[in-house]
Amino acid sequence: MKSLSSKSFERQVAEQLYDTASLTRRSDRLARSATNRVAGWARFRDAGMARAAAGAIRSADLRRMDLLLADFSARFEHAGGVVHWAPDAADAREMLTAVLREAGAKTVVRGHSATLDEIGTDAALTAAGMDGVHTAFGDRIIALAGEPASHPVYPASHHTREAVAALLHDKGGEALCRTPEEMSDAVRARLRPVFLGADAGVVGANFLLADTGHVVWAESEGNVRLCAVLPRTLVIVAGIDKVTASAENLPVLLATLAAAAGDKTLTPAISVIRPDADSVRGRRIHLILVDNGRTQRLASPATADTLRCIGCGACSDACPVYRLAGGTAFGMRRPGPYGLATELGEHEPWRRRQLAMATPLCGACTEVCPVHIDLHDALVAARAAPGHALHGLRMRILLAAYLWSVRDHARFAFGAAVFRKLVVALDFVRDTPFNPVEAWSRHRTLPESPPRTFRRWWKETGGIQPPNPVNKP
Amino acid sequence: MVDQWMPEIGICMARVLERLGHTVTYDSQQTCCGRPAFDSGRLVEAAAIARRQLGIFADAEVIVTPSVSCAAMMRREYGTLITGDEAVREAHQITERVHEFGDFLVNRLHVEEVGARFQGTVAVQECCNTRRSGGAPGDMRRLLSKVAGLRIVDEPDSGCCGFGGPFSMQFPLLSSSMGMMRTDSVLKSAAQYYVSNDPACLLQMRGIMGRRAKPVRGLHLAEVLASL
Repeated sequence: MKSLSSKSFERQVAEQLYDTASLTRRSDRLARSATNRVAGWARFRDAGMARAAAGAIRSADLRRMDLLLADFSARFEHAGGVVHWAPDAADAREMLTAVLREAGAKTVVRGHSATLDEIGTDAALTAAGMDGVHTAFGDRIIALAGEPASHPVYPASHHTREAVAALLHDKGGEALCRTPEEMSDAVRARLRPVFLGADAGVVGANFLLADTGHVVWAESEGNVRLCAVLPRTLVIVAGIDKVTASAENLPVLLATLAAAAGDKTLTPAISVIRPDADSVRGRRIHLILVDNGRTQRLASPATADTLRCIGCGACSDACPVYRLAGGTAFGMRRPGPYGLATELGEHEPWRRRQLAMATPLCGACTEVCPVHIDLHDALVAARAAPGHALHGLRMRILLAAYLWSVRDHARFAFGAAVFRKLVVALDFVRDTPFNPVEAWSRHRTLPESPPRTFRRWWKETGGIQPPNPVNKP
Repeated sequence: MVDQWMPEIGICMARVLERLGHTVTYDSQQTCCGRPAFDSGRLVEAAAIARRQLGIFADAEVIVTPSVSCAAMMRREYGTLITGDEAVREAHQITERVHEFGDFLVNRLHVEEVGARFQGTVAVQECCNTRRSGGAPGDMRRLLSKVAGLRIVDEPDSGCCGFGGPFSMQFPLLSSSMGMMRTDSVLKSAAQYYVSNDPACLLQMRGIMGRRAKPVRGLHLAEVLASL
């Protein structure tokens, strides 16, 4: 999903900030999920140990990804499934539509999956003349609203209950509901016959088990399970990073995922299935393994760890930018730090340059990640990618001046003093374009210029202490 | 930033260290740790700055900085900028001797009580880079809690001040909104001062408080510990 807006990120943020009702609602939701997470982690005897174990499992998986994928696909195919290898998104789309066309599919039910969105499933189905039906509640809502996701796990989290009811009524053709239960009943009633009549199910995956050939889904609604077992044809689209060595890893991974995602206990619906299960045996079950830049990410130390992700959404909820800017402003599948670190390449160049800088690098995301992804490193790497650097003439000039001066102490002392005196002298025109630090001064005062620099103080006094400069009240 | 804008922080830090019986030297060849380049994604230039800085500090027994951001840059980020096994080993021998002021006192000298006196109620602004600077979160709080006359207020919602280097200039509204939230929390807490272990947090918070015309003063940890 590309950016749906041509507005600058700062502009979108401004709109979000004036929308105090959604700001409050978001803060409330974040506070609630923080409480749930605390409760979730409290269930562990040693939460730190669980996170370390989950991180170690994912890290080991990535180191042997090629071997594990070979094992998994052999076992999945032995059980009657078909595995396709897609080097990029376009290949994956082609494979998906080819499989569906061969199966004669008209109506396709799909589950919530960042990988399905990544390869552009909706557009591909439409282009192939098929009817793709979103079966995840949140996905239906944002599809009706025509908006990007506002959260990696809960894409419609930005809407009020009333707004969701209105969307379902006005655009979804449902009766006007009042309670969440009424809404989910209405959608369930509408989807039940669609599930039963669908020609194919298209879903993502949470984990692929290399030692057994099983596919694992963890979801809150159970719609993925229905997509998987009801239609004649099933296509699973999964990133190559989803493979994990063994079924023995599942208890740790699923428990960690649930706690980090803020589920009170385990994720409500967990399905583990292989093509030779009685309920699906004899069906056409295809699995498309998508690379689409993952091997490249794995090759660089700063970004390799991002492939450990188990999709809990904790990094977004911890992010102060996410809290203020809201999810939709990012225009990403995974709005927040993870999206900033991994999805920039899909955006238009001007937006890429903006979003690359849209984080204070506070590291709150790294701190909460249950599998210890260093998102801080990945965010810096995203900035360092060609064409992602600073935008704006003023910033470029400031950076060039800094880089010129920093290589030599005489230059540095001279350049920094000139800069300091210049911005102080120009403070009287602070709200005009003549102010070189206008972006700073718009909302903040400048510090006072000291009588002498530390450098000069040291030279003049040799480090002899003047009276304590802090005045007591 | 300390050199040009807030020399009193450096002076106070030197004062405290000398009071504890250490010899402080300052090599005026030094410029900047390179974080502005690093945070702007200019890793090649940042690596060149890193090599230059490492050369200057190679002979120091301990390198102490009053900025968590500089300490994190040198201890943590230099490691990813320097390449080649031998160079990495050499760099590590220097960077492991880099400490942020509070981290140096608590974890290297094992000193929490420095004999400071300070009358007042303070809010604590721990720089986010404390997560990466080698110190432990809470070092500053421990030091402040041992200062005679000082009372720490608890804030329900303390977090990032929103500075973020180039971020503060590229997203002034977002950055200052984060600063507004942070200063709101300080103002609600009835603190007379806020104390930070990083000049960058002070730059941002003083700037915001200045525009809001609030009398709550921002001080650096070193300024508080230097006061007698």
